Amino acid sequence: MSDINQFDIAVIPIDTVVMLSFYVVTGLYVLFTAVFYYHWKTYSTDAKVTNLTYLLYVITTLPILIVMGTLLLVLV
Amino acid sequence: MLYEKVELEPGEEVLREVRKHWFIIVSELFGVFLMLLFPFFILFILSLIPQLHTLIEVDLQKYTALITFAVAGWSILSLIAGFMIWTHYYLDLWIITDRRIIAIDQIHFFNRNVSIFRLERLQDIEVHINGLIPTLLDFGTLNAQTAGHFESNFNQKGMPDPRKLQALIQQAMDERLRELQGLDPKIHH
Repeated sequence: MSDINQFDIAVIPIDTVVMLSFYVVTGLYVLFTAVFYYHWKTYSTDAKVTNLTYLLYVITTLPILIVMGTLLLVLV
Repeated sequence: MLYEKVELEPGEEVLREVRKHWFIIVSELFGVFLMLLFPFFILFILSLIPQLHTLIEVDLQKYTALITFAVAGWSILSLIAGFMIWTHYYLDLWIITDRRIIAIDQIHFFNRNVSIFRLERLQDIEVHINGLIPTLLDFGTLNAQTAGHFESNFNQKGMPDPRKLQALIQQAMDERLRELQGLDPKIHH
């Protein structure tokens, strides 16, 4: 039975792939959050919608990122 | 906030703020929803074909943590795409005042056009409603032509209730022209 913990061609350990993908996703998330926050703060016309959008953004994305971080500790 | 940056003229009154029809955002977000469901769909398909497990020699249950990690990563990217669509939808805006139309076109995060058209320079407002869904849900393209040779005409797709908007702009245009000719429209009403 083949082991998917290793890629056959490049032999990159799965730990490295997992860690790297976590860093890439976290980096994208931080970058997007900054741009997202700036745009809503600068160009929105309604403070209520802006706050609701921020709240929805945090409660939908942050728990998933925390799950990813926790799984990273399990996997690596 | 935006109004601090737009700087309305003294005495200028905002008549209406218009965003694209809700169907536009719903149809775009539906795509994101399907994107979000994609890994679950794949897992469902894999679970339906038990022979496939022996074929690729992988026991899915053994890699639950890894699969959850991948699905979580995919979900974050999908949600980011969703919030990007929502931002573009909400920040894409027409502000119709009693003196001008301010058309804000949020194309991408770092591509934003703000055009200002004075009502007295407008010549014609056209409405195009094309297709079954736009006809049923009452949305379409609004096309405005300006008098100036060098000024570009402008159009916006997916505008809700375009005939009402056309009438509102036409009325504001007439009142503005009367005002500029020295006749206060408020006196006549």
